[in-house]
Amino acid sequence: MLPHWLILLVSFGYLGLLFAVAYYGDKRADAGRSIISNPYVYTFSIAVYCTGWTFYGSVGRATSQGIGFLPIYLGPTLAATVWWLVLRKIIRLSKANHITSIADFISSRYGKSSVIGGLVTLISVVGIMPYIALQLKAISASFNVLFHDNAQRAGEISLGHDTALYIALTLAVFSILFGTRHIDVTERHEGMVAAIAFESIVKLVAFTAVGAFVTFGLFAGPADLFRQAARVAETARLLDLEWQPGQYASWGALTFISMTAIMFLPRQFQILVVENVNEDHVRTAAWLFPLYLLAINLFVLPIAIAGLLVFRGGAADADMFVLTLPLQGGQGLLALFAFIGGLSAATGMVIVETIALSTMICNDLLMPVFLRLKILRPGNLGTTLLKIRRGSIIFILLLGYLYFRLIGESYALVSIGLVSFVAASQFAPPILLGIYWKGASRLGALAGLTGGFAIWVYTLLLPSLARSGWLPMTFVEPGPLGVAALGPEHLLNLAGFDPVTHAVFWSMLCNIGLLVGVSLFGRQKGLEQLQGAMFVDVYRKRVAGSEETPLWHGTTRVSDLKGLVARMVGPERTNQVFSEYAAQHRIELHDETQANESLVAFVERELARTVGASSARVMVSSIIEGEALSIEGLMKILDETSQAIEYSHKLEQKSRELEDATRELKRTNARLKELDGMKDEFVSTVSHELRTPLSSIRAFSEILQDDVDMDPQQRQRLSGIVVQETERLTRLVDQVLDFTKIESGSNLWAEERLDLASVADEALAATGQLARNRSIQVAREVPEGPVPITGDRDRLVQVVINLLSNALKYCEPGNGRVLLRLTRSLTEARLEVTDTGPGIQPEEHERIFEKFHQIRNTARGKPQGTGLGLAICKTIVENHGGRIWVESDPGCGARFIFTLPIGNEREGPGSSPGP
Amino acid sequence: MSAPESPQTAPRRNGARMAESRRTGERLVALLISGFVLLNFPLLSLLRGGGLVAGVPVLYIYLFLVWVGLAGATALVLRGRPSTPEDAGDEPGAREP
Repeated sequence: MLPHWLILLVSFGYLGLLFAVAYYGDKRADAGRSIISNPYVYTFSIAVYCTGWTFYGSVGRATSQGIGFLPIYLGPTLAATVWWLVLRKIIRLSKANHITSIADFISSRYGKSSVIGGLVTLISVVGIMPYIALQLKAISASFNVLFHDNAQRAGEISLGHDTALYIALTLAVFSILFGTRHIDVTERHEGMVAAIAFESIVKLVAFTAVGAFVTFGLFAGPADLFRQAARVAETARLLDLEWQPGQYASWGALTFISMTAIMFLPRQFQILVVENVNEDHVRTAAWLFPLYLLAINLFVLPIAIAGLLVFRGGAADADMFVLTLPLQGGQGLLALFAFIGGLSAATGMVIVETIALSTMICNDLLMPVFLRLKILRPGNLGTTLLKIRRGSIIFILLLGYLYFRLIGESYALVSIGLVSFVAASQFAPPILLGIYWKGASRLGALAGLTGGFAIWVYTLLLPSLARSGWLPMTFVEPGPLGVAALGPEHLLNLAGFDPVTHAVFWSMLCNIGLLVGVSLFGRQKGLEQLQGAMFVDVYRKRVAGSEETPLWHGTTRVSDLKGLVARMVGPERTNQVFSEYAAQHRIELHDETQANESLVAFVERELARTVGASSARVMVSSIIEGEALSIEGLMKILDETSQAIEYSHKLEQKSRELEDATRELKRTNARLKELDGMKDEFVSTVSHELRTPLSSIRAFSEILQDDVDMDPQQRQRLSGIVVQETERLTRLVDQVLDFTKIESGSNLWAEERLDLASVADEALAATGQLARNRSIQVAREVPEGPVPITGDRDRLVQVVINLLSNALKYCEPGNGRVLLRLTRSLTEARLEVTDTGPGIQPEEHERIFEKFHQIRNTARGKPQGTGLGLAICKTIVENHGGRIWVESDPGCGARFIFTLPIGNEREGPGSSPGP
Repeated sequence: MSAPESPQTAPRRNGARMAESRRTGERLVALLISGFVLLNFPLLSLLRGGGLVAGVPVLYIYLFLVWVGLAGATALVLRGRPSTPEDAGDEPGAREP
């Protein structure tokens, strides 16, 4: 038996410790060294999800449904996998818009609508009421267990309901101290978050300690526990899945609503979004938070089974096993520690929830009404706001207490909590559709939320009141006015679902259906459209420039705006804010000047930080003279901006393409110029070559004509020279003609089976005289047997002759040597002509095959030949499907090589032109 | 984009980052879907009557293993993901420290 004074001392001591943690957190924040700017603190603060429900209620639920308590924790685990996508986007949006609560977020998305903000607030307050009642019930029940140290009497509440009232009032004081000392809500509650994270650690350690004691202290480990459980029918069924009608749907529905609850319960939104310091913390929380949930759930089933085994047949409240088992085991201090853990779980939830709800009541429900009715007295609004919020906290806790008094005794913890979860899940459609679908409209959201909420009230809230005796039971069974089809737990006679699944199905159908349907068939107004576009495209917002979007068209003076802000935050802070703005935009702000649109938008955002988006809009519009900017015009501007950006992207791309084309053109042009120069040179070379024989022909003919008395022998010699020169002329002209013919491809080549060896021999024979004249040795290496190829014999002979005569021409007369070598492989024949001439510079290797190209030989002065021979060779070889190239080092001779495909697989000459 | 980049490389790198970012998103959504399937009926009904393994119910072991697996896979997908330009914080300027 623990002394009562000790229990009270430890409880209040613990609350004092919490406050010390919060105070330290605030001090550190003021000093600029935040302790909560840390992904692990963020993760632990999210664990405010685990409340008295988790700490006490899960065990109770596990005693009746076995593993059925788990979907509530599997849902958040699943949701966490996409936090990086969804939650991060919501955080980004909230920071950009100075969002203060979930009501503010939804109302901002749907055109800063006060009506939506108010409706969300109403749903939250009514929906969360059972959840707060659950915490009060958990704390007061645990107090009573500890006070009486008697497991059998845990169900009774001997201190009366006053315990819960005292607790509610204490928690109200605490929430006020934690949450409403400043008015600027986006200046986060760092101290509160630090305290919440601390509580999360305490409750995890406490629950695990109890679990370990039960499993290893009362039993000999988990195996022993489960084995004993398997022997008793009552506990054996908990180890397995029981078949129940509607079980599939129920499991899925619980998973779904807990997936939405983890993000859209007002307190979760507060912790996840509003109190988030750095969106990168989501990266850690996305995997660490599921592990926290796993850890705190690990011992739920063992404790539940142990409780059933230990108190077999007793009337012990299963929700309180966490306390009664250590007491039964004689571990009073452990029970006290467990009690502190439960206190942590419950107080953490109540503190954050009431702060979040009071902000919503103030900013989204009362302020817009007060502002419109103009019933606020002039003066500083800041203190008025604080009063409203403090009043709201007390109101919310009293409402929770009221619900606890109304139905507290007739429901288990988890059943109460699930009612709230279904209410919170109504926010999922307007938020999720709102941030991914621009078409979701204000009217659609309004209709969906109203419909969903109405169904929730009818199918969950009213039956809970009926079961507690506040409404006639005939309302539930068979149904209002005795009509079964209207029965709140089997609407339209829909059977086979438990009440929660039934409510989830109908409310979601109604909510999503109305939201989508009304949005599709209605029209959005300007501001809605603008906010919708901004929310969906938040990652591209620099494009739209939403921050500087001038929303106001009317006129006002700077001094009026200053007055407005000063009412909220006091003159000192106002001057600071305005001078910061002036410095940032490099402008002078004089009181009497007209405020520009950007300044008005800035003031609206500043106000939104304190009173929320919809109230801020009402406040600003109250001092603006003239009409608000036509939003349709604004949308047009936005559209034009984004179009202009798209055009400029296209232009950039075009200009890059143009640059490329220009470069290519320049290159081609240079090449053409070079070719043109070559052609000129070639023409002059050809003319020169033509003139040499012509002038000698002319000279000798004149001699023959003039000197009639020339002796016949001399005359014979001269006319022989004339004939020789004429032949040379003919050859030259032939070659030029030849080349043009080959180039134009108008010639038709024969296609016949040939032996390349005999081609080579023919060429050798034809150049034999030239070799003898220059006394150059010509060697021949040809394999045994024929080298079969297909092609035009004369052309190929011409190629070999060209190569041979080139080689002979460049060899030193007398001691030069030329080698012709023919080899064959499986696929190709290869012919090489090697000389001992001066060789060819490497940079010329490619170009000597180009037409009109001639190697400048400085020693000899003028180019040799027409510059067409090798070009002709290349054209012929490539037309035969072969390749020609040269290998040479200057000073060591040159080797010309060409290859041709073996056999007759080639289709024909001319059909496979060279590159 | 903090570092100055030449106009030609910037769009290309942006494109690669966006592709990487989209891939991360796709992986996370795939995790969500597979988790939902693994932790729901009808797959769960396969474990009915599974009995005890090493003294612990099979159902229990299965659920907790999938749970750990999901958390681990999420950590793996998000590990060291480079911050994309749209990830960079761009809070409004006039914020109090």
